[in-house]
Amino acid sequence: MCDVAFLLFADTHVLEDRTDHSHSYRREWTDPYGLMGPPGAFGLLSRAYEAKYGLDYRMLGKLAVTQRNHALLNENACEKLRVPITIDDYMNSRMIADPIRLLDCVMRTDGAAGLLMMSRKRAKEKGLTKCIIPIGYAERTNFKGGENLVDVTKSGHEICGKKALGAAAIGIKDVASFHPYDDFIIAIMLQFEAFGFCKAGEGVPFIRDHDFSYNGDLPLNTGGGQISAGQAACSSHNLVEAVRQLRGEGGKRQVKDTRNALVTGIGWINYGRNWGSSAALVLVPE
Amino acid sequence: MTKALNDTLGVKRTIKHFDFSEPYWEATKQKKLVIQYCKATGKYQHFPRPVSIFTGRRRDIEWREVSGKGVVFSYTITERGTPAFRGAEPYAVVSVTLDVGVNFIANIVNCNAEELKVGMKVKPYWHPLDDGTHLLMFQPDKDAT
Repeated sequence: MCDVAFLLFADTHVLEDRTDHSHSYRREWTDPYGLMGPPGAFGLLSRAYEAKYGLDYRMLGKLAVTQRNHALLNENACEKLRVPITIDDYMNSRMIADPIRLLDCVMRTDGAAGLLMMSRKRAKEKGLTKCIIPIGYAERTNFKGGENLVDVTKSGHEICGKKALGAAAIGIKDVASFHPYDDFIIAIMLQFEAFGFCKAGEGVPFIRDHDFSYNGDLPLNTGGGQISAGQAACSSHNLVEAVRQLRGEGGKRQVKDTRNALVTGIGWINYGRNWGSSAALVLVPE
Repeated sequence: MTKALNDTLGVKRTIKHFDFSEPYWEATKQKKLVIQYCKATGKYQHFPRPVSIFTGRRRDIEWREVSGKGVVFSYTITERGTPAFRGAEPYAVVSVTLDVGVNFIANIVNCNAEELKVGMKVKPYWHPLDDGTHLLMFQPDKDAT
């Protein structure tokens, strides 16, 4: 049996396009039409959401600004991204895959993070204090994979979110800080809906009515999120930030309520719809 | 002012096929659209797979010719294209719900940015490729009622 697990997340990126689509539907069904990877897929997803519910893009801009403000307070955030932005900057940033703008998109960066995982007993023996406990975890993969026409605004988070919160025995209103996987800004809004912070289609008014700053009523990706800190090794940024906050090591961006934190993950995008894998993790301090 | 969209007909495309997709490409040589149909459940599926996504069985799959008519389910205007499409921006990528109940992602021709709307009725446009197959695209179906 493993006594101690060292969880290492590391990434370095190359500029050349080395994406190999030879085993994917992409080479036959999206590459020939120039659909631009994840920005293209989220462009289709955003437009479908807009057609169904309407979408005030300035509210997505509010989330972008909140996360950028957090990155300004995070010395580990990618230096290039540590520049203040406004909602107008978001709205005026150039279109990539309309309605996806430049400031919707995550930027790949080099980076690394690490965590040590062990039993409470082992931690005590080692004299380690301020341990963080994962008390609820669930994931859902290939959400509605056996169905044809699905509501693309929904994801497996609506299932695994309930499971993870259930295991942790807390309700969604008890979540003290939220650290969702953010590859595009709209993914955050879709997760507000899927986890039940608000009802389906009510993401925009929910954003309007809440303050997502580190000292607001629902602190959101307090390290800047991947979008404003840089995407290195995917979810590790949001996970490590949640651990830091619960340990009280948030520095200038320390949240007040450290009873728990909810971290999420997202993986791959199915043909013309939403992400295919969803994960949720509830952390509490010892 | 009307914003012109590139119809992407000038983009060079070489497409590698999976073995199980060949019946699709073969039919496009005659500008026919065939879609996989699951005999056990009576439902269509797209993109092509080796098995039915409804039952997981290979023997449930057959190919059926369909009209290719449908409505725009969603679309995105690409302002920053993939390497093969660089220089062709802006161009639209549409997801169309075909009348047999599957979504099909493609480009659209004979359509400007102001006309392109979710819910718009479309019909096939067949773009010839060098290998004798045709690439399915869509165009507005102005005769549709």
